[in-house]
Amino acid sequence: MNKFSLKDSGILSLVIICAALSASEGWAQEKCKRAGSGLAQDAKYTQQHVIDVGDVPGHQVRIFELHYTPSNAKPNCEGLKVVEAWSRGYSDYTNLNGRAWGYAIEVLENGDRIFGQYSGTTQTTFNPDGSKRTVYTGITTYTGGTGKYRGIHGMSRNTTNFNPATGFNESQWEAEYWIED
Amino acid sequence: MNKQLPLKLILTTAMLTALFSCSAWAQQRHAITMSGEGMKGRYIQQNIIDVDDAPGHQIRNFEIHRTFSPDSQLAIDGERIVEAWVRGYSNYTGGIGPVWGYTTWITEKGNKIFTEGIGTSEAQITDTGSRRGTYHGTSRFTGGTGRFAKIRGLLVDISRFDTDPKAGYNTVDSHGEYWFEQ
Repeated sequence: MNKFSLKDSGILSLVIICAALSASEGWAQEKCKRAGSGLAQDAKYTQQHVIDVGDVPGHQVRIFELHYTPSNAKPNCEGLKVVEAWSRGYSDYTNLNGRAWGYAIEVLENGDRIFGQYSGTTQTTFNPDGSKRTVYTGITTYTGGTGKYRGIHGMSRNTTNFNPATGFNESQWEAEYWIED
Repeated sequence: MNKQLPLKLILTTAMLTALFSCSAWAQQRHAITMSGEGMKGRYIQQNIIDVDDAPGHQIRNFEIHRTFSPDSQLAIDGERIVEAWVRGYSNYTGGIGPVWGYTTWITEKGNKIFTEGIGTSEAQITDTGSRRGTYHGTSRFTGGTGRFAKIRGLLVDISRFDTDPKAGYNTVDSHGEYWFEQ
């Protein structure tokens, strides 16, 4: 009759730890990390609807649609470039300070789409020369997609300088995602 | 033993004072009930964007104007409410989903009272293409102008609506309470 000794249990523990470490390394390797920027000339507000709330000056409820056609897109970890992206969302600003949130769709060159939900905060500050600077900082969480991106998970950190009145919109982003079968 | 009497008296007096204070504080809360009858509500503007991630998913902002008939008894702290403006958002998929926003109530003396509301709507498409349905939600009194600056309170709201731009309506039944923060 075989006995399970302390020595055996030590070896077993070692095997489990090694397996766990290699699995974790494998999982980490499957994450795709990317960074990039959205150029002002590639972004266009296609719709903006603003309603003054009337409770305090400058308080507005707004919905908007922003269309990107990235001219600087690079292939992602699957070798596909983003050919266009849409952002459709809400803002609840008082003098361009407050919350913004909504939905993002990226369309890849093979027709696959990636869906995300974003949420963040916008702050408007004054530059030394007295001009205003409006910056959105937020997170986009990938919620799914079509084609090979059906099982996408992950997130993107975004910082956007923008001006809804002039249509200016320029962004920086860092993303990491993985795809589960 | 006699020395303990004043202490007992003090404690009893303190407890009674506390009880009466609570009672007085509770009495300063005012019940409010509002009926959709005699109220007219119409959509001033509605803007809709298709999200395009799932069929029927739309984001919207809107503005509703409500007026109250001259014989309406709706009053807050003695001032009759004559009109209200609702400005908010919805996030519907197939006419169902969350709604939230801001309401400004205007009194006969021109004072304004502000509430913030959040809830859920369920609607069906009518023959004209509009959405007719019901909203259930709650509102918080957040402040106002003049003597209503420190108004606070809570309402339970049930709204009935039809989003048709011409024949549409939006009325609300509410009940709750309000008070003035000291």
